Amino acid sequence: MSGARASELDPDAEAVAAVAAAVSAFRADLDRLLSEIGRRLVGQADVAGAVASALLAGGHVLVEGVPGLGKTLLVRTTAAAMDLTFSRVQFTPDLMPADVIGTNLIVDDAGGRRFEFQKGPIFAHVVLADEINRATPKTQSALLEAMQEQSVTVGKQTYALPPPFFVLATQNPIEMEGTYPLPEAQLDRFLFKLRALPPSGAELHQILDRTTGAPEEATRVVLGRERLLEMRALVRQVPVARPIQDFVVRLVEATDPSRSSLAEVARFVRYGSSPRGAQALILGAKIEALRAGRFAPSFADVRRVALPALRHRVLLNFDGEAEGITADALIDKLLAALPEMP
Amino acid sequence: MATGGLLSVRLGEIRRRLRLFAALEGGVAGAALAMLALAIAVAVGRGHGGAPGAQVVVALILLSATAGAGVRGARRIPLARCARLADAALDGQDRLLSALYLDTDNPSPFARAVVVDAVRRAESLVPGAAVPARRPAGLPALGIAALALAGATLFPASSRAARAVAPVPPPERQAPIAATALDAEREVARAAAQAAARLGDQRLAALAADFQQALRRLASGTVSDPAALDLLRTFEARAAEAARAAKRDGQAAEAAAQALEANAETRAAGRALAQTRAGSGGGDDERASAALGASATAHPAETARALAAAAGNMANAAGRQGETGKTGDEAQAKDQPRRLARNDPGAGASSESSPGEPNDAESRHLEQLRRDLDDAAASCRDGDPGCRPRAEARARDLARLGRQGAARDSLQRLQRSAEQLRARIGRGELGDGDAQAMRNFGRAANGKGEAPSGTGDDVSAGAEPAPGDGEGTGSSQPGGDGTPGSTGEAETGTASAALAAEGGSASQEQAGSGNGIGHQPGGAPLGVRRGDATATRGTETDVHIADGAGPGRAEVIGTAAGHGFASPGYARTFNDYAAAVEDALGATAVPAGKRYLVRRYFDLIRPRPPARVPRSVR
Repeated sequence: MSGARASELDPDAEAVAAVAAAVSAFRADLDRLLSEIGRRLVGQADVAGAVASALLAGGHVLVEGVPGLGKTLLVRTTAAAMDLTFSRVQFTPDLMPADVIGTNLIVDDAGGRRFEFQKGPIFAHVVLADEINRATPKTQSALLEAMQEQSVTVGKQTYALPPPFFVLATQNPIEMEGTYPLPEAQLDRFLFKLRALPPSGAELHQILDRTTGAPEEATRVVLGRERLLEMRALVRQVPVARPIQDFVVRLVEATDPSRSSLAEVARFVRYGSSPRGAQALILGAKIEALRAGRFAPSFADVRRVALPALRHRVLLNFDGEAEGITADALIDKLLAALPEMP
Repeated sequence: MATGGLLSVRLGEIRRRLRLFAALEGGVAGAALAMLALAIAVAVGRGHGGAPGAQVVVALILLSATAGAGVRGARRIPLARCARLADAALDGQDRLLSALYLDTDNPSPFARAVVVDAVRRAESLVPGAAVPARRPAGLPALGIAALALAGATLFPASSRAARAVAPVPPPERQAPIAATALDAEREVARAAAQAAARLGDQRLAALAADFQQALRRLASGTVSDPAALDLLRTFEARAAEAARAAKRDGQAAEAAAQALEANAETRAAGRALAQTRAGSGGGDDERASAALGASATAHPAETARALAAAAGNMANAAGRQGETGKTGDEAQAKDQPRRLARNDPGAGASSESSPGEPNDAESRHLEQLRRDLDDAAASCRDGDPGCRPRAEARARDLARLGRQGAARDSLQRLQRSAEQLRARIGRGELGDGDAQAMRNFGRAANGKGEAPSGTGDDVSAGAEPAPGDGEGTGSSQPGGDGTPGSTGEAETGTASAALAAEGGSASQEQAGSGNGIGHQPGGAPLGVRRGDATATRGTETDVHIADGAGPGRAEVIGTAAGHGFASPGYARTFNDYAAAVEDALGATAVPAGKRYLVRRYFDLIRPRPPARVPRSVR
């Protein structure tokens, strides 16, 4: 929109123009980030986009997929492209909470012996919790507490984690023996749950070309940490029209078996989504709108983020498990059945 | 806010267009309703000699269309609906809808940006694109209503006399029946016609002709099964009624003849009358008339006494008939038309009279004859010269009465033949099924019968009595006595029962037992059907499956656990493995998050007291 025309329409045309410029810049920066990720990572564009969305929304992501699909590369590249610190923790059954958050060590120096806190790998901007379901619930809960509170407490001392703090946890869906699946309350703390799918034939060719030839050049920094925080703040300013928010509320309510009008939900669902699900839907829809250069989300944006935002929050009961029902199928049915405006 | 105002203007344009189309729809619907109502009114009005005028019709249609347009056009149309339509015409991203709701008094910069963006996009939107012109949905209904109104207006029926008679739909055609399938019935009809000619009985002749005509229609396939059943049912009722009347006539004639025979002077006349009752034909009437006339001339006093006694006997016979009519085969014969009459309202008014008592029409001619006999007796007693002609006339009357009574057997055979034919049609035996029955009959008669499963009862299942038993036997000869309870020939009974069983076992057929009802020419039912020959002896269980889907896996486990895991052996086995289950769950082999599934499964299949098996799975 031209500035002159905007001035005619609105006395606060400058503010509007500033917003338009901010949205445009957001879109350009996000495109550059995704482009840089795509330069290193073949395929998984949806997963990369959702990871970037979660990073901008201030949430964390749980990725489910078999090994070798580029999950580590994705998160490492994302951190490098934004000049963020990165650490990777391989979760195993013998991993202890102190191995993640750090511990107090006795240090000898000129002043004598004293305790000094040795920070664990969680003190990074981006943390990859690989195969999180292999660690014991005790260790899992240490990580998940940090995710929620953005801080860790050792002894009587609380240490704030450096913003932005982003955790990408992975789960392997095929080797369940000897694992500790995340409890529902902890699953809820992930903004999105994503599914990494195997690459197509063309993508596999591309992977082979890139990884078996000459070494690739290093990841370029396309965003700074400060810019990421600005973008986060911009996301929070995006307004949501009441009908869109109402649709989100009705969608979340419809996942509750005691309130849903869908017979399958009442029959196969044990617990529906928590309010965190609605928050994830709204934040995800806002980022989708900004990615498209719009100033407010639409119903289509909500539909687009419904699966990653809700699939780990819709918990099936015994009947649902026995019948082989999936949360994705139920959410799809809900989206098809729920009118956008009553 | 200026931008918000612009948005409202554009949405208002869309709303006006929506309202216009809604009003158009309402007008069309209103006009269609009015036309339909007027079509009915015009049709009814013209049938009664008057109809609303053209101006009234047009005015009413316009009024209704206007009312419909007003009602639909005045409905509230939310701006949000207009915004959604506009968004759908743009890019489907709900820009105008968001702007509509975010255009508040103190909007944030982002909200302002949303509104400005929406207004900019709405400027390029043509209301016609958001609400494209469309044909009113009620247009087809309007066309149909207009056609109905035109039809009602132009229909050439201005009076009752000129009203066209609704065309009678042609009777539904059935496949023609095999040529030999109705031979038995044709033989009965032919015998009845011959008997009618011999006895000079018009009633019997008419019924025989009707039956022959019905058989011709059936054979030609011009009548459907339901129509044939109705036809035969009506005929059956008529024949039964006629047979009852014939029986009364015969009894009255017999009583009068006995009175005449008891007197030595009128005995010759009484014997001649007895011969007329036997249906021998010839000049019995004239012989009886001459004999009674001669007696009246030679012995008027004795003739008077005999005639009076005859009148009294007739009255007594009528009284006895009223008392005994409810018993024996008479009661059966009377009950049948009543039962039939319930199925056929048009079966005849006579069926409404109480059983055993002649209705008015039937009793009147007997009463009249009794009075005539009394008059003749009085005439002879008084030495009136009219004694002889009166006595001769009464003799002819009694002879006619006797002949009518003699037609009773033929009437009963007609009735039974119609009844059996109706039963065959009801069982679908005509056509190929009838031919199959005939083939089975031939095989059974030759001792080569076979027993198709499920079509006939076995001996132990209650087959009907063997030949010689009181029930289920009869004659195969046309004109034979087929009265239930009479004893027929053993060979005939065997074949008949085999025919009736239609596929019963060979041994059963050779033993002469069956469970069907035969249809030999002129015979009575050859057996009594004891229930449906194809009925199974199992217990019926209704199983309802919801929505055509089978039970879920969880329901199957639950159902099996309800009745299959209750034995002591199972309980022992389960307890033996209970510890193993806990060991497995305690190890790390089962993910902690999935353990509830394992525990739930074993909880479902735990031993429990026997539960009632659900009869239906929903």
